[in-house]
Amino acid sequence: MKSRPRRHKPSDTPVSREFNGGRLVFGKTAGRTNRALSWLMLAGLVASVGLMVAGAVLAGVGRGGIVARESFLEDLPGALASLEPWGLFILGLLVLLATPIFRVVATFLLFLRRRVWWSCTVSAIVLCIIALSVVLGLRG
Amino acid sequence: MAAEVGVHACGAQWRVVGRRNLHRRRLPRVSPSHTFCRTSAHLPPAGTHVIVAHRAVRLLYRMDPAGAPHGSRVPHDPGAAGRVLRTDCDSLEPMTDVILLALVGLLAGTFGSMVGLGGGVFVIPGLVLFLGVPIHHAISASLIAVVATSTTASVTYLRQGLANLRLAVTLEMALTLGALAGGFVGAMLDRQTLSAIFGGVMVVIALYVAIRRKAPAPTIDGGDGLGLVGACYYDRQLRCEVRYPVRRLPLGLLVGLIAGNVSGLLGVGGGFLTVPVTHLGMSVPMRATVATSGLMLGVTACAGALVYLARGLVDPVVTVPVVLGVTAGALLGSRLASRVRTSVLAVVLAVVLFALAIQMLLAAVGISMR
Repeated sequence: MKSRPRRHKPSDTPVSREFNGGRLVFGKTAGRTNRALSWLMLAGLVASVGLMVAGAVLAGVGRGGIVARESFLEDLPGALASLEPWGLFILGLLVLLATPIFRVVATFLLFLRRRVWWSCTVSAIVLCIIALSVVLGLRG
Repeated sequence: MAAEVGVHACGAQWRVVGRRNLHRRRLPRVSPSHTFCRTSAHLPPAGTHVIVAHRAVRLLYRMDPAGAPHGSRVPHDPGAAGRVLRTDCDSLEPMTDVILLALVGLLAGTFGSMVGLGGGVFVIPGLVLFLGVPIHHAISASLIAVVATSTTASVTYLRQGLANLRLAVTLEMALTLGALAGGFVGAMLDRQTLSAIFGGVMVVIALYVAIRRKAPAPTIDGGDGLGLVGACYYDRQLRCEVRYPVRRLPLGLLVGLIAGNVSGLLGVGGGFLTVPVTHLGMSVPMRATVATSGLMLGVTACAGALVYLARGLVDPVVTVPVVLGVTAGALLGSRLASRVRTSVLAVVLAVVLFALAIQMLLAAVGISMR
């Protein structure tokens, strides 16, 4: 059923609410939740870009160059210990890829806390599929 | 005058020096071997290569020393400037340039964010057709670029309260499952097949961009009957709270599965499928659709990218400049979006995409237009 739009005063605080079969799920905490997730993603983005830029700077000044490696998992700790650009690049990419995964983990915990079982279950399935993609990828 | 680089046989050792550096300082000592190349995959560990550097900024690789004496110097032949003396590796001749890669990413991120696409549809043709990057490396770079675009956009969308978290997580289930399957299938297919599929999909995207009309006004609904994943947000333009139910969720899941598969297979975000279906098929308002799609495509691309990364198909030398460029482009595009007429931009992009699609299809059958 359509209804007339309700007029609100513009506010700096975004309003976002979610419903579960008509039941209000997040209510007033939605803005806080969104902001927390937003900060999480911003932190991941800044960290990954920072690592990649640092690697590019090191490569630019000729510190070891970018090393072509066969196995990044085994070589990564050593490359990071010696501050090789390759190590910083791979770590930056891993942080970037981990950021949305952390967001799903945070969402899962949020739904778990609020006992939204459908979304909680779906979040867990998403995490399982991502884990499966890593495992299957590593096994070739 | 271009600067030339050293030559070393059986040790694969190179050091590219810019023109200024060539005259001002001696070539450095090289303990491990160095080279500059398009990708790491095409460099044999030994052999004779000569690299011509046309710019001071180049990509640096260090190869397996393979017997190169520690501290050996790269021989320098002033007469070799600006020309290739000899190369045993085809991939060395069209060398990768960091700036060009970043530029491709910047353009892709800018245009992609302006029209609501992830940017992968621009990254892959740019890398494959114009820079000669192998398509598997281009796909992996594109997938990670989509993650960067999604993360950048999500920061804003979440703050604005536009993204529907519960819908995003629900559709992510289908998307990641499809991306997982697509990632494995994509890694097994050859270059021609992937180019042909990508060209075909690009034609569809070009048509979608061309015929997309201005989004209709959002559904403003009552609080009851919002369904399992319905939500509401405050629309600043309408100055009202928009409540919407999510209809036909199974349809969204089915399309999500297909979009995820295409994403993992071809390295595109899949937004060209999820956005219209979520908006038109599931009755989600356009602003919430774009925000939710942007949020979930990062996870989708992530699942596909992890497969490529685990299989060693991610080349940081290609990927990092593209990702940095895409991130900057996404920030730039989100600011420019409100100042450019979307309809004009959509037509231009459709033409460009269609031309790129034709080139990809021709490349699939062995015809290069470069």
